[in-house]
Formats: sequence, C-alpha cells, structure tokens
Amino acid sequence: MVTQYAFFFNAAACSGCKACQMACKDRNNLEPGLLWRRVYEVAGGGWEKKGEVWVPSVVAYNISMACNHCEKPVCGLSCPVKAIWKREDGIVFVDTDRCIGCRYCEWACPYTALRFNATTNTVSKCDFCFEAVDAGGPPACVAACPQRALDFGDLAELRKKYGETRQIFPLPDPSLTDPALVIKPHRDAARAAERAAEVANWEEV
Amino acid sequence: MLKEWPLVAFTIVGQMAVGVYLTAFFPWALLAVVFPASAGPPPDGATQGLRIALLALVFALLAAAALVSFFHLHHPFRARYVLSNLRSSWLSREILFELGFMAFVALGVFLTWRQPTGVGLLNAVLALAGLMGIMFLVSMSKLYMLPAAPAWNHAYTPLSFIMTALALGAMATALLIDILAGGRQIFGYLLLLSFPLVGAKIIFSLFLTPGHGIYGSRSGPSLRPPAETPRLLHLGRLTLLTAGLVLIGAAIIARDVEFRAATGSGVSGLLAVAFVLVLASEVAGRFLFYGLLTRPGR
Ligand code: SF4
Ligand code: SF4
Repeated sequence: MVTQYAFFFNAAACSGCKACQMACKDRNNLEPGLLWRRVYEVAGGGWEKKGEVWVPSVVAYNISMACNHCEKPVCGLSCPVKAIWKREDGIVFVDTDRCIGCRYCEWACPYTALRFNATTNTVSKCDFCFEAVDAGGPPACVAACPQRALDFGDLAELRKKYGETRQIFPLPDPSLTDPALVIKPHRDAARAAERAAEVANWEEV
Repeated sequence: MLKEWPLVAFTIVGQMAVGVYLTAFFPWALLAVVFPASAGPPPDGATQGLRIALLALVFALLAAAALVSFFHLHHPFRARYVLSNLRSSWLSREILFELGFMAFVALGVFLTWRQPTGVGLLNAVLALAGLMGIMFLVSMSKLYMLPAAPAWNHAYTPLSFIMTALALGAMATALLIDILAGGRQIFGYLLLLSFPLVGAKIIFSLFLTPGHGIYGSRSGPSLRPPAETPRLLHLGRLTLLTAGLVLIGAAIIARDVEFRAATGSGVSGLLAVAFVLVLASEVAGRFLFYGLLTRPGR
C-alpha cells in the first residue's frame, strides 16, 4: 500500500516545453493566471576565463514544480481552520468548503504551491489528480510529458529507483517541509548559485 | 501590496491597543498583584472615569481591528472555525489571544465601573488582560516569522511590532489623558517616554528593515518572485518618523517653558500632530513589510 505518494522530476531530461503545466491547467480547468504546476526557467552565467581561453559558463535548465505533498506540510500546520489535510496515502488536499480564504498558507509554503482561486475564493493547489491515481492511472502532468521527465509513485520506491536528491537551485531547503519529491539534477544545477543564476520567467510562474 | 490594507490596519490598530494598555495599566496592575501594599487607596471619581475611558479605548481599538480583519477573508462567514488549529497555527492563537484580551478588558471596564469593595479582583483581571495582550503581540509576531519567509523570519518583525505598540500606545494614552483630564503629571511622563520610543523606531528601521536597512537580510534561493517594495516607502517612513520625533521634542520643550511661564497649552497640539505623523509612518512601514513577500499568481 502506498504510504506517501511523490513526484519524480528529471531536470536533465526536461526541455521546458510546459506540456505538464498545460495538461494540469486543462485537466483541472484552471482560469487564466492560475497554475498548479509551473515550469521555472533557470538561467545565468556567461563567459569565464580558463587560463588564456574564454569558455562559455552558461547555466540553463528547467524545473517543473507543483505541490510536493510534503511529509511535514507546513501549509496545513499553519492553516487556522484545518482546511488543509493529508490522506493516508500522503496526498495533501485543500478543503474548499472550509477554507476562509485568509491566504496565510500561501506565505507558509516555500514552494509557492498554493494559489488563490478567484472562482472558489479560496486557495487551491495540485491534488495529485487523485481521481485518476485512485483509478490506477497517472497524474495528467506525468502522462503529458513527452520527455518522460516526470514520474510518480510511492516515495520509498521512487528513491530506490532514482536516488535521494530532493533539492537543486533555487528550490528551498527541503528540511522545511520534507517534500515528497525526488529529483535528477541537471548538470548545470551544481554551479547555478555561484554563477548567479536566476529564475528567468517570474512573470509566467 | 496595496490589497493587504486590511492586514495593515488590523496589525497597527491591534498593536496600538496593546500599547495603550501596556503604558496605561499593565505595570501598575501587575505591581499591585505582586505587591498588594503598593496598590494605594481606591481611585477618586475622576480617576475612575479616566480609567474607564482608557479601557474603553483599548476595547474599541480591538473591536475595530477585529472588524477590519474580516475584510481580508474571502469567506468571512466561515471565520467561526478560526480557533480550530490552536495546536499548530499561530494565526489561530493570535485570534484566541485577541479575544481573550478583549474579554478581560471588558471585564476590567465592568469591575472599574461597579467598584467592588476590594481592588484585588480588579487588579488580577487587569494583570491577566495585560498578559493576554502581550501574548497577542507575541503570536502576531510569530505568525509572520515563517521559515519559508526569510524576509520576515527575522528579529525585525517582533522588534518593529513591539516598538509600534509602545510608541503609538504611549502617544495615544497621553493624548486621551490630556483631552479628558488635562494637567495630570502622567501626561508629562508619557510625553517624555514617547521620545525615546519613536527614536528607537527610527534606529531599528534605519538599520534592520529587511531589504532596505543598512543590515538588510540576504535572501537565499527561493521560488518566490523578488519583492518590489518601492524605496520611497522606506524613505517616507523614516522622514515621517523623524518629523514626529522633532515635534515630540518641541512638545517637551514647550511644556517645560509653559510650566515656567504658566501660560496655556500648545503642547497637546504638537503631540497630536506628532501622533498623526508617526501613525502615517507606521502605515507606510507596514505596507513595505507586506510588500516584502510577494504572492505569485493573482
Ligand atoms: S508543497 Fe507547499 S502546499 Fe504542498 S504540501 Fe508542501 S507545504 Fe503544503
Ligand atoms: S487560505 Fe484557506 S487553506 Fe490557506 S490558511 Fe487560510 S483558511 Fe487555511
């Protein structure tokens, strides 16, 4: 039995096509401006001198990120009305019939996974496509990725398959929430901070 | 940033209520509970009226803060659930302490008005109200000190909230006392107290304001878009605070001169203008505070 559903993201394989983002919007019928999964374009670097030679030091990769259904969901711990709850299989849900729309959880989540939904006047976020998953299928984002850069499953299984990494630049310190996330880093990620890389598409995400 | 106006109003007015209470009642009530001999004789009619007015002001400020906080909820009718998560949510705790503070202040008004034979019960209620007020301030600070929000998870947050409470509280108390019962010595003490409080506020803001202060906090890697708080807000806040400080200084000097010359009072006028300036600086500072943490999306 699954005790903690999780996402896997392969940053080395992601081309930044945003099919996952659009599949999520489509499946959940999200209004313009509301994104439950977002693709961050990380860019930086330029040229650096090695001996007498100038070589490119460009950093460029993408991170596809939704709610990480954290093992320590600080969103729910901070919600005053207990509108955020965790199912036995680890999926974290927002109860839109209970949420008062105070938007405090938006500040508490370091992944900015909670987004205000003007239709329900509550916060909203990825629900792991629980209906599809309960029926034995994959979440829409995983199914849509042409690069097979996304996967899902039990956190312990994903760790066995892909390793233990759960943070690359500029993701926050994972000890804050214990995200149910496994990442295969892009080769540029290790030097992104020292090359002053930044998210290049803030307007979009 | 501007859409956070209900939170700006709630925090400033709530903190001012705590400040009025802490400067006008809490130390004396606590002293009377711990050392009953220091309680002194029961108050005369005028002092009793003044106490009721000050307590009523605290209650009114708290009620106004509570009312305005509803404007920040998108489902205000569900607010009845807000105490559900006292175990882990500082937001639930903040509301609990605000309600507790209001309840004890209301009881304080009742007991002051009815004047029971012994003042022990009244002092105990007033001391408890003060503790609730302090916890209200503590929980208000804690709820913003989120590990996910480095700009707020900083000594600046509690320091600035405490200084706002004390500076606005001392000035508001002095003004009310002057309006209702001019000539009291306590007015002079509160006027003198306002000067270092506003001065300290200027120093904290200058040095510690996240993103703007001389010792600004460095932001780490983040998925939150960078803050776009206009520098003008910081400069405007400092200017208003400095102008307020100058006027308080002028009021202190004017009071000294008036005492010697035994003329009428322009002191409270100066203090009133200083109060408005300091209040305006708080509004600018609080918008800046909320602007530090952007909300991606809508
Ligand atoms: S990613 Fe954010 S919203 Fe999702 S469970 Fe973790 S803390 Fe909560
Ligand atoms: S916005 Fe809703 S889910 Fe988030 S903290 Fe407020 S009540 Fe809880």
